[in-house]
Amino acid sequence: MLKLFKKTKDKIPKSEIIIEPKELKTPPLSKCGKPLLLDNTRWERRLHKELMSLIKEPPPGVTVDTESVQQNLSEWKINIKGFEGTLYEGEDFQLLFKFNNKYPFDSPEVTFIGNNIPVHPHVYSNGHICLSILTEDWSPALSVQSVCLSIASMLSSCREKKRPPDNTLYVKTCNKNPKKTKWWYHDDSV
Amino acid sequence: MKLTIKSWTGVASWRWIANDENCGICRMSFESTCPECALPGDDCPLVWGVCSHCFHMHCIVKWLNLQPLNKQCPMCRQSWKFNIH
Amino acid sequence: MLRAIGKRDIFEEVWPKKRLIVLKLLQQETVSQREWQDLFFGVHFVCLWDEKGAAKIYDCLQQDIVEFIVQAQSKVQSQRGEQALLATYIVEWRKFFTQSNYLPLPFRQLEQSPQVKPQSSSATSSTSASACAGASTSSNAASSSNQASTSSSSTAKASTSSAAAAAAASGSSSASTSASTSAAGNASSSKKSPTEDSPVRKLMLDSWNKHIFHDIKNRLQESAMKIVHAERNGDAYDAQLVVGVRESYVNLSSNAQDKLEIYREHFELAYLKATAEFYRLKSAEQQQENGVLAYMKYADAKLHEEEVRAKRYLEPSSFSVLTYTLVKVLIVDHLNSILAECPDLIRDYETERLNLMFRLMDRVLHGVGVEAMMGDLQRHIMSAGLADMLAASEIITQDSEKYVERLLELFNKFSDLVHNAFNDDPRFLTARDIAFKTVVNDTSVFKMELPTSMANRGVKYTAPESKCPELLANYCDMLLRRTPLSKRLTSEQIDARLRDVLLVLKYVNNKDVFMRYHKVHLTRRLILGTSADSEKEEDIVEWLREVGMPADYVNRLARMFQDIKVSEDLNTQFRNSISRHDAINIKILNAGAWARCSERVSVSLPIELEDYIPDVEEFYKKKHSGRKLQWYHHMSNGTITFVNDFGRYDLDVTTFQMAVLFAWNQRQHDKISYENLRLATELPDPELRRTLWSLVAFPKIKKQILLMEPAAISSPKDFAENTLFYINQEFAIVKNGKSQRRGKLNLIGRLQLSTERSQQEDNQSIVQLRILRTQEAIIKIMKVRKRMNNAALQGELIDILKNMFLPSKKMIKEQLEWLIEHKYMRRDDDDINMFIYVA
Repeated sequence: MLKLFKKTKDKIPKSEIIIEPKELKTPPLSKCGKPLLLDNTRWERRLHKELMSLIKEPPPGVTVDTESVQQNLSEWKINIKGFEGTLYEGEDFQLLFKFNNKYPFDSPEVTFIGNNIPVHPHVYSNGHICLSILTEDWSPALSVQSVCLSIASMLSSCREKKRPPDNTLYVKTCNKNPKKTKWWYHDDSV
Repeated sequence: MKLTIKSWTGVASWRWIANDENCGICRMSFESTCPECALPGDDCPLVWGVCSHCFHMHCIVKWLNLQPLNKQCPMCRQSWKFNIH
Repeated sequence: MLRAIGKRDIFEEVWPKKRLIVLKLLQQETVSQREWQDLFFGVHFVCLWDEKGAAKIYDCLQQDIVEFIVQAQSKVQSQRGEQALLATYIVEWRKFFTQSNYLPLPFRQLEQSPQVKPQSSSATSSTSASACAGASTSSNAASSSNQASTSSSSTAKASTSSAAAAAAASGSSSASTSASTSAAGNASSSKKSPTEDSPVRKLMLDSWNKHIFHDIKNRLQESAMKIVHAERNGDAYDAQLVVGVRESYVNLSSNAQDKLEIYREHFELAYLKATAEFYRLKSAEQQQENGVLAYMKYADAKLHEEEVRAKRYLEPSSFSVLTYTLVKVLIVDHLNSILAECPDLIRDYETERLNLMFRLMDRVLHGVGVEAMMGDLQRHIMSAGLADMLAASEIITQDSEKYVERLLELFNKFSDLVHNAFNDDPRFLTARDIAFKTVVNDTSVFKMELPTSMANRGVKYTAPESKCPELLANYCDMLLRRTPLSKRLTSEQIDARLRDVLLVLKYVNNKDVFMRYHKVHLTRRLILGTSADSEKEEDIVEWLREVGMPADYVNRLARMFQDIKVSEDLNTQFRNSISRHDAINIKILNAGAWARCSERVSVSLPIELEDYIPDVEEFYKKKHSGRKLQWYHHMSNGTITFVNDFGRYDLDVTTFQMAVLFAWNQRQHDKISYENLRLATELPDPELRRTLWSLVAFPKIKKQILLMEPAAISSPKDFAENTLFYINQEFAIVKNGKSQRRGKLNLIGRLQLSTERSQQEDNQSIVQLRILRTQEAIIKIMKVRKRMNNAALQGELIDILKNMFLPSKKMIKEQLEWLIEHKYMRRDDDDINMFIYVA
């Protein structure tokens, strides 16, 4: 695995994606007649939907820290467990998702936080993750759940617990926001 | 006695013929609108890609506008082309 | 030379001669121009050469003035009668006052001297050596004397405001006291006269104050008040006397900061006291003798009269305190007895008297009186309005036209009352509006029952609501549809009535009920094409927007019109593409914009129609890829031609009726059982029953198109599987008792927009929507506020929802609980009434 990185200037696409509240819409009635509650802030509804489904039907090993989400819908803490039969079995990790108001058109900022940062060739000791779907391969069809699953599978497929080779330099010089790192994804096999 | 039809007014509505129930971008039902519209139907149309994936027009256009170079379908990452029948 | 003069006593040498001129001036005797100039020169000369000259002149002048005043005093005091006393005083005072504007002129030079600056009337024996020496002083004196000489005044008559000019113009020696003093009096309260600050003038006025005024001011005051009293009683009087007294009060003030001090503390006070006493007696007397209603007129007249009088006798600064006193004595002291008349006056539409009462009460501070009247008005409109509706309840509950007209009649009556009696005062308009609201939303005459909770959420009970919005919507429909009513009225009349509907709607709490019914009616009119005037249809949509109906609702209505227009274009294209379908029309509705379009009912269509439908679907598919048509046959309708031995008739029917009737097309004489009709039409049971009933028992026609066996069935519920139906071979359209050979008949009646659903379910959907709207609004508010207490939240909530409906406390509470339960928000741990938003 080889990774190069360099910092780039913030490149926020200049487009018309400014989200403002607008007139309340008439809520559609669900088929069973039970009121569908509408949170009227347009795109935030998607985030809310994702949260609800993640709480109600979490994928194995993934739990949302509801306490943290209650404070602020734009920052979620999510706990994931190392799967059985992998190098991380029995370990607990915590991910921090930060959403800006362009979500889902812009990817969430995802990092490992807490005491236990997994030792993994794609995870830096400051919690930054080198995963293409978190930056240039992001698609609005992805979701918190799919990101969690990708990270879980990234961990599961690891054959040797070690930090990325450029870890020391990167951690010293990188931006706080991993999205500002220009990643070179050379190796998808690990 | 004989009955014949002189004129008839048929009342109908229409619905989208989509592969999916929800828009892959906003996750709203195709039966309702994208998050930025109020009225479903003509005002908030669906569009199809050549790859056969379907989105609210407003959602996919917004996404494509944010992709200066590789305009891909969010679902299959194939290069996006509108399917104009 | 200086020394030579210095040795002599210049004062003793010069002054005795000049003093004679002073005395002449005091006495208002004629003084020649020469003498007048001499006086200036004398003062100047003494001040120049005698270092104590100024003080000496001052002392001497004081003695002369006091002496003159003492003489005047004895003249005044010797008068016995009030009038004579006043008259003499005023004559003396005016003379003196006039002089106080002139006499100081020659003594201007004294002003420079510190010896005469002190307030005390005795000049100090100051040793100041600087007395009035120098060229500047002399030139001053010269200019003074010049000024005086050009005025050529001997008796010193001039206006104080522009002394020189006015004096030059008049130049005469006689003093027309009345005119000049009144000018002086006026000026005293406005512009400064050149002599105003002069110590000599002050000396004169202070001396007058001390030696005359102080002693007799009480007598003067009393006399003046007696004159005013006499005037109030209509006796003869001399107003000038009162004016004169006031002027002396005003002009005697030596307090530069507060010139009206003496006036206010004596004259004004006495005037107010006398006024209050006079009217205290009079008002009680008037009310007792002539009753309250006459008394109101009296009070009004006297208020006006006294305001006019005040302009004569009082300084402008006293007007407001006088009015306050008068209002207190004439109105406030009689408040209860006057207000007690109010309810009866309102009942009897005594607009003039009410207007008078309103004018009186409007003068009372803090609006106490007006508020009481507003309360009376509000109570009256409520009780009279409700009584009126109750009395007419039998008609108006049946007939929405009568109801709305009755309501408008009431409104207009009360609005006229507010206009005529209360000049459309905003406070009374508000009282009227509150009362109208009560009448309109009252549920005692008739009501609709709405469930307060959803059936699936525990207990179900109903809260009655006014039927008003439903009736308003019905009335609207009658005006907008082709009906006998809309045909009878001109376009302008219809507009006026539609405006009236909106006026009433303004008072309706639950506008959502109106919106729902209006939309249902509009749907029918658009589907059946029964609008009387399509322009008006669109006008009213804009009007609804103007009166504050929620934008999304109005937009949906606009969308409905758009759908119809788009459908018309589509029809044209369709007919052009397939020539054989001239008779086919399609109306494609956008789901969501229309009233309840979601249900579909299966039906087996007549073969003729089954042929058309695939063509339409194919055409639409080509026009709009990715879309699929869904038919709403319960709304589809058409015209069929029915031919029998009696004639040829065009019948407007629903598609369901068509499906049923066409069952006989191949076997016209058969009797078909209910069961077989169901098999043939595939209609669900409730729809089939309803459709059959409309064909065997259509209201108001002589001959029904279908007959049944047994014939005695009285309700669609009583149709049995084996009930038989058959075509009435005798069917004909009957008009005026005669069978017609041709004709047109509408068998659709009120188009059913939904499947068989009870009113209860209909209302349930209103409630369901309210619940959603309430939840939405709570979230919307909490999202912005983050933390909010219960009371504030309810306030904002009602504000957001008031254009749709008035949420009940109970519903708000339930929805708050629901939202808390579903983690949209939570209660503060420390304060149960504080809500916190949860993202």
